[in-house]
Amino acid sequence: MHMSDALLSVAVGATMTAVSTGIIGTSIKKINKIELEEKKIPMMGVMGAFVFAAQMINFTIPGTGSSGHIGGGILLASLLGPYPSLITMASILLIQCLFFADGGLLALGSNIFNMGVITCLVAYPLIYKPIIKREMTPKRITIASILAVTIGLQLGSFAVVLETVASGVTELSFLTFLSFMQPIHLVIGLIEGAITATVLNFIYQMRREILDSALRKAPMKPVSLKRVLFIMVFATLITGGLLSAYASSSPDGLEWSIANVMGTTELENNTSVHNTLLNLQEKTAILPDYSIVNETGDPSPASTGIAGVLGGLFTLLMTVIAGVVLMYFKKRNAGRPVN
Amino acid sequence: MSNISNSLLQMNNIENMNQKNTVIHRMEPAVKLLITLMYLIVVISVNPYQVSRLIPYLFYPVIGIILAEISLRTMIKYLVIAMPFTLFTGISNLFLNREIAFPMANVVITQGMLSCCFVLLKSILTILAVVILTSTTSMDDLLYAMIHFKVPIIIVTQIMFTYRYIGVIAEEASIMYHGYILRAPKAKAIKAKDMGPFLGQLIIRSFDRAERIYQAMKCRGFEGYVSFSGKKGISGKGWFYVVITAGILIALRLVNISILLGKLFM
Amino acid sequence: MIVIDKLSVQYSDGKQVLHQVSCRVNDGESVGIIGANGAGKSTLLKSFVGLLMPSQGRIEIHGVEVNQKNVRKIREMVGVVFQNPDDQLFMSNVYDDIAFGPRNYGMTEEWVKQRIYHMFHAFGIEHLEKSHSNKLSGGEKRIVAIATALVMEPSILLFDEPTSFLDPRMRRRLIELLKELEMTKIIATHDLDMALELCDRVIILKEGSIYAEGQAKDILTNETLLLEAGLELPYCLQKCMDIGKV
Repeated sequence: MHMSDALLSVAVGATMTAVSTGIIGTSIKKINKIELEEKKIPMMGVMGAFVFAAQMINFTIPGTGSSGHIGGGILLASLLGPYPSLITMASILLIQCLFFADGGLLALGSNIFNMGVITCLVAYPLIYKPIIKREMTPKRITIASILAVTIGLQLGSFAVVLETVASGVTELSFLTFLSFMQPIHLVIGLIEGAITATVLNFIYQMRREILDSALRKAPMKPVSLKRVLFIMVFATLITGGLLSAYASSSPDGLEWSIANVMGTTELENNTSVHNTLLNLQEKTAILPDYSIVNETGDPSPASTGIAGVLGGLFTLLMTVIAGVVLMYFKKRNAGRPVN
Repeated sequence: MSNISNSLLQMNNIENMNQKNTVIHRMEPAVKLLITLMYLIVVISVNPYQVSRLIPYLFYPVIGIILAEISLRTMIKYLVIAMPFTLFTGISNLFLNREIAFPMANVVITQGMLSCCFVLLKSILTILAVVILTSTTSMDDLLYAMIHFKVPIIIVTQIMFTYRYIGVIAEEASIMYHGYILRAPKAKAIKAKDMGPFLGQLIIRSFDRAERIYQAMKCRGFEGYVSFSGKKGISGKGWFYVVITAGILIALRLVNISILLGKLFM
Repeated sequence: MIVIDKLSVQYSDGKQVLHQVSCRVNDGESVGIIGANGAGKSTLLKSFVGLLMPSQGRIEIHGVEVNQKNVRKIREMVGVVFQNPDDQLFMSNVYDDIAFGPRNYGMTEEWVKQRIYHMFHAFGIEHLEKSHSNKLSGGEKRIVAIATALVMEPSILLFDEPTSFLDPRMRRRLIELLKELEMTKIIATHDLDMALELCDRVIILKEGSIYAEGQAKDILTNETLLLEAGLELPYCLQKCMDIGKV
């Protein structure tokens, strides 16, 4: 589930960008220090391309008429190890946002966190790896894949809900949104988990050394995991702090939203305004009557609102006209030889 | 048909678009990247419900699309792909918040309507900004712009490799897919139970390819670090564009042109 | 000069691919390595540049032994053109791809630029400078791949199946191009017609050992020998003989 720019507020977008940048920075340091043999550089790139291609391949979902594709996070982590897979995932997400309009440029931080950090640095080392590490058998691979993918996706969709609600662009309540997102992602997770399991089992049979090398060459020390968790907790605190600061500076509910429509927070007599609005609505009168001015001389929300609509439409019109004029000149110039 | 070819076609379209030679195409990539980021930040910073404040920002994509000669059809295709979730959020807002924002003529404008318009408009603006950037700037130029802005080389290298091999691996996947579909004529897509061997096979091939690429790199002296050519800074003219755009964006953010214009009529 | 002395190579899974191979390649010579699939052609090429290390025996190139320590020096002297140009061209534009080797060897950007423009000019591919490898045709990819190896001014060039993926016209252009290159060339190939045209000498590998070695015109016209090695006469010769019979 890609977050788009439109669903994010600057506060949430910026925090998530900071968090993901921090985690990626730490991962790069880790990679440079211990983990990365130079062979992994082309390997990561090609596997990134593989995940891309894999996402283009549809499969039929048994029992339904529909088809879907895999996300590939756990698959990537189990082939490359946690840090390289995170870097690869981040590259994939950037290309998706640039060339396929999947998620936005400023939402990249969120998407890297929701789909990269959570799968590669949480679900993989905490769920997949401990199960596989003791003994690698087809059965364990299956259990580990299904659990890791499902839990990873649950956490990821939970993060999407949190970020969207915190951004304040949806009118859905937190719980409604959650109760909508989690079950869907449970189903998606189970299916993707099962597919991931069959893919990994196939590789286990054909070329076991690929899975072994990912496990061996990705020493995930408990210290580093702690650090990642620390960054996450720290980030959450900052996000919480920023958001509550942001929220407390804004008035509540209707007041707040009207204030936003007007672009001002000065609204002392809001109840009376509200009543007036209701009365006006019942009367269903015509336009000029709404130009109500209060004591301070500020126009009422109604007049500002209408001014907004009218002006907005006018701006739109001007934009279109400007576009047409520009196009005209462009065409005319195109006819001329360029010296 | 499979969406492998669709996706490749889409990438190809964008690549063809950024081969053009227009004013926008000729702008320095780092400048374009910077302007796009500024635009996105400013647009995103507009608070919910302030639809009127968002409208003036339409100028940017309109001017961009026309100057860069981007086909409207491509743009619309993009929007259609990218919009479903935002559309859902927007429309749900319509029903969930019926509080009255303000009445107008015989209609009552609810906050739900405002936030619906807001979400949709915002997503159109943000998507178009990114599409304008990518359809006027080649991946190669974007990579160099990233290096200019100090994005770690390992990330740039990864993006470069991934982008380079999407086509190659997808081509292999496409051949396998056709091989599968030809032998399973009734199947609409690959059966879930066959996905294991299918993707598994593709992974093994990708691994072997990565091995060969690595050997080719070693043969040319690769020592763990991919080097790029010297950095090109932003020119004076480039900074001029950046400052002007920044000025306009900030002015639009501070002054609500829509409301100002609207007042003229009232 | 390349001297191979009782070379044996083993894969990490223990499979023996080359046994006791000994031969010599003189400077400026052009040598074809032919043999059925799995005969060890690619393995032999890879061991020249230390991508695979000998389990026994040794290889010397211009008096430098191929081993872990010398491998960087060896790769500066020996250029390799791989079978699939997609594996060899990985950077985001043609210029950077050709510059990859020289930059890794610490050449200055100025030197790199000069060399690359020289290559562009020599091959007539100036217009490809900024192109992404995705956008090149099969033939263009092959030529750029050769340029990536040539830019280092190697004294020896190794080719693995240079004519694969090429249409007949492009194949012809490539052969003419290879004829003009004056350095030592070692070409592993199934394209026996090309081997006959390009190579002074031919080595036939069979199951990891040298089965026959000699002048191209002797080896490639000896039908019995070729059939025994799992090969056949070059098609042009088959055709000539058919005509001769009539």
